[in-house]
Amino acid sequence: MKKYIIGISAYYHESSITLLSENKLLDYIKEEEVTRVKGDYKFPFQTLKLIINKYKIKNSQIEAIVFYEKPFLGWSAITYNALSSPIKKWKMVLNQFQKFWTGSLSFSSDLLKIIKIPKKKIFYCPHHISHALNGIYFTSNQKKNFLIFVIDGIGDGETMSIFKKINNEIITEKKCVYPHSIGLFYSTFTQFLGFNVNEGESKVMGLASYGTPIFKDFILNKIISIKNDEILIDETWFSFTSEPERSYSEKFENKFGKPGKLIDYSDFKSDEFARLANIAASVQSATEELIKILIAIFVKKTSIKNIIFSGGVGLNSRVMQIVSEMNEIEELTVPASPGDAGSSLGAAIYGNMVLSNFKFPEFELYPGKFYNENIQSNIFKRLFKKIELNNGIEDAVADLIQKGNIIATFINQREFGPRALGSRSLICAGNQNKVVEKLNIEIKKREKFRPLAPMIRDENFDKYFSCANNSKHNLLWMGMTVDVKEEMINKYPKAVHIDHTSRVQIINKYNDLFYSLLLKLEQKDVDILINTSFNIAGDPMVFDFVDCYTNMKRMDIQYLLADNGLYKINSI
Amino acid sequence: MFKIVNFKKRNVKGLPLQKVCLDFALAEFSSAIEMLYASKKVDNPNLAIGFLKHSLDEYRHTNFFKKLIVESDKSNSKEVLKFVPRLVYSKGFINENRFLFDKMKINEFSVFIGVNEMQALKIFEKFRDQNLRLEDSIKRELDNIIKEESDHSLNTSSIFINNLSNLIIDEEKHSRLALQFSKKNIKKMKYKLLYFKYLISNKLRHFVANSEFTKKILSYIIVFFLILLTFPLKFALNTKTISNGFHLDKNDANLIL
Ligand SMILES: [Fe+2]
Ligand SMILES: [Fe+2]
Ligand SMILES: [Fe+2]
Repeated sequence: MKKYIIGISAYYHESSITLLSENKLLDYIKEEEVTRVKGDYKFPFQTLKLIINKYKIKNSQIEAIVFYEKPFLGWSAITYNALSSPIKKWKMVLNQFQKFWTGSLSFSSDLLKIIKIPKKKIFYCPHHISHALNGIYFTSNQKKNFLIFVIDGIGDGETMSIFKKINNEIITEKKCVYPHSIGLFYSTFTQFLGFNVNEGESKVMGLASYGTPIFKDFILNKIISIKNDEILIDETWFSFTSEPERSYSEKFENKFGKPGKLIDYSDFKSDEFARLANIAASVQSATEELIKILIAIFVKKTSIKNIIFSGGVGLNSRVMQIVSEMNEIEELTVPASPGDAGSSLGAAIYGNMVLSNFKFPEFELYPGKFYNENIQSNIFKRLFKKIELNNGIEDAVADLIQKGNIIATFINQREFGPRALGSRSLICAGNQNKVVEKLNIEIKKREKFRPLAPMIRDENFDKYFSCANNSKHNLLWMGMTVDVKEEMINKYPKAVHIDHTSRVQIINKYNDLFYSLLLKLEQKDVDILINTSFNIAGDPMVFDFVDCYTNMKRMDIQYLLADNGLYKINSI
Repeated sequence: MFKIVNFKKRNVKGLPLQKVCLDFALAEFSSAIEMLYASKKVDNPNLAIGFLKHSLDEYRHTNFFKKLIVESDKSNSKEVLKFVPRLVYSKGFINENRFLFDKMKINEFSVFIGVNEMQALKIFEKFRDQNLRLEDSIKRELDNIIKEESDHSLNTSSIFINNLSNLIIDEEKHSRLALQFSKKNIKKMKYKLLYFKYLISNKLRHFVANSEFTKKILSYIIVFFLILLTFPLKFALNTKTISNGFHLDKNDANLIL
């Protein structure tokens, strides 16, 4: 009888479930994919039900269900801080006591609504250990020793952990605690600039390249700094410790002016756009500086030069590029999903380790089995029409792409993490500027200041990009940006950011369909595909073929490349 | 629209337009995903396609109100309202642990939608007649939505009734469903009963939603006492302990701190 370990992350960022069995990563699903509510943070009721049904898991087969943090710690740290000045922070106190019943502390009762298992099978992994294990999993050799940086908003009351991984031990080197947080500092600016926290951070990063970091020194002198290896913020600039809904204080507003609104970003040439871009540039480059200082300090202290960077700040692919280029380090690994949404994997690995030895599951970047066995069903046939092909499928798709079509993909198994890596992507030819522009602005409704990402065969990489070699494996999952070469700017300008970087995905033979598709396209002088996630703006990535249909309908896309053929959308 | 937005003639003037639009957008969005879910779960392909079409309509309606949120944000108001999908939970538009379709039997579900679509329609009509300073193009779009809502409310009951007979005829394939339906033997009487059930429960839900002010006062009182009570215990919450060494200890695994 098969044994299972289930890892769960929930209640703050997108919740997710990872399923491990016999040292294999079997599945990874985010609740938002199932419920279609982007950023779904609640306990993953729907996903858990779905996984239990899909794999026909009986209670007796479950070895452990592992939650990604220690529920009491996160709550107590914030509450303790709020109670330090209860009059000023009364809103936070109120919020904390209301949340007592609904946040992480309700994990076991929520879980028991779906599945009855004895309490001794419920494990709680320390929040930053979940991030750390998730990070180790994505390294090229898990046997090596590493210096692990976990930096996020807050988890278990902690804001930064630095661990040494030596042989089979994980040893704490340093901890910083709430409210001194680089993640919360960045999110405060995200909110101030008018974007949604937890989602808009990448927009701030994109916007930053359009501005000049005129406030960088001010920020590092007055707002946040590193003192004696510690992150230190001046609380008077923030209000996240006193108000649950608002992160910046009045003092902050007096300094940086009117908060940004989405509408301010419609005109690139406006003064307002320039003002906000300068603020974004300042917070971005201050963050880069802080991370560089921290890494330099601890590499020197520990003499370990193989770095893992995990936690929400790791989603900042520009910061990751800068780290990868530091002379002090040898190699960098950023996991495919460094934020809390990926932590269900770390939690499941923790369960595996507590139960057996220091052993990592086999590496799998595309663990999600598609639920498309119904692809032969009546409903599928009413939604899609199969295109009869004379040649191979790669030929047909390459033709369509060359003719300027955008193709939606739904192939193989779902990718792990926040980025579409081909299984659920919208793709088009990289050199057709008009098509790329249409895909970015009209179809995906992305902000004009965020370019789309290129996809290239590993062998062609050096022609267009340069990258610190020991960190190249991160590009299999678009973990960081890289510098582009002149050739790229000339031939594929729409896939290059204004600062001459790209968040490129490299394709190796492991990804056989895309590998051969790119080979075909190269004969037509296209060696770069544009790849963006298959979802309409504001929606999660597609999960099943019905989602494929609704998304294609809403975005007006005609062709779907699925496992067993090429399809055209029907009207219903 | 499944949870009806709290919208009365007299409070629209006090409420910023943006706030009303946000609620409308969330309501439309939650019906879009409820219908989508239903379309994935229902056995009968005709019903599935019907639900899917309905869902696509609701997504369009959501976009319309999302656009209105941004448009009405040109003001200098300090409070910035944004459409954030996860608000559907905190604002009670969608139940956290299951969708309506899982909670209800299919006939109940259809009646429920019928009732709600009709109420949505009335509210949009009210909204349109408020004489808000809306541009003509927006008014036209709103009229279109109102028309679609009235189709929805008619359709769901007729889809249901039409398909009921189809289902029964198609016994071989869907014998299980048909059996369920014929057992239930939904006649007009049953339909009416369900209809009133949901009508009344909707009204009740509004009553609860409208009592937010009372809830607020209550929570202030509670928090005041909580602060008084927990303040002396504050130091017990200081759990800042820094552990070194081996982190994968079986004995720690079951602890919540
Ligand atoms: Fe975290
Ligand atoms: Fe609607
Ligand atoms: Fe409707």
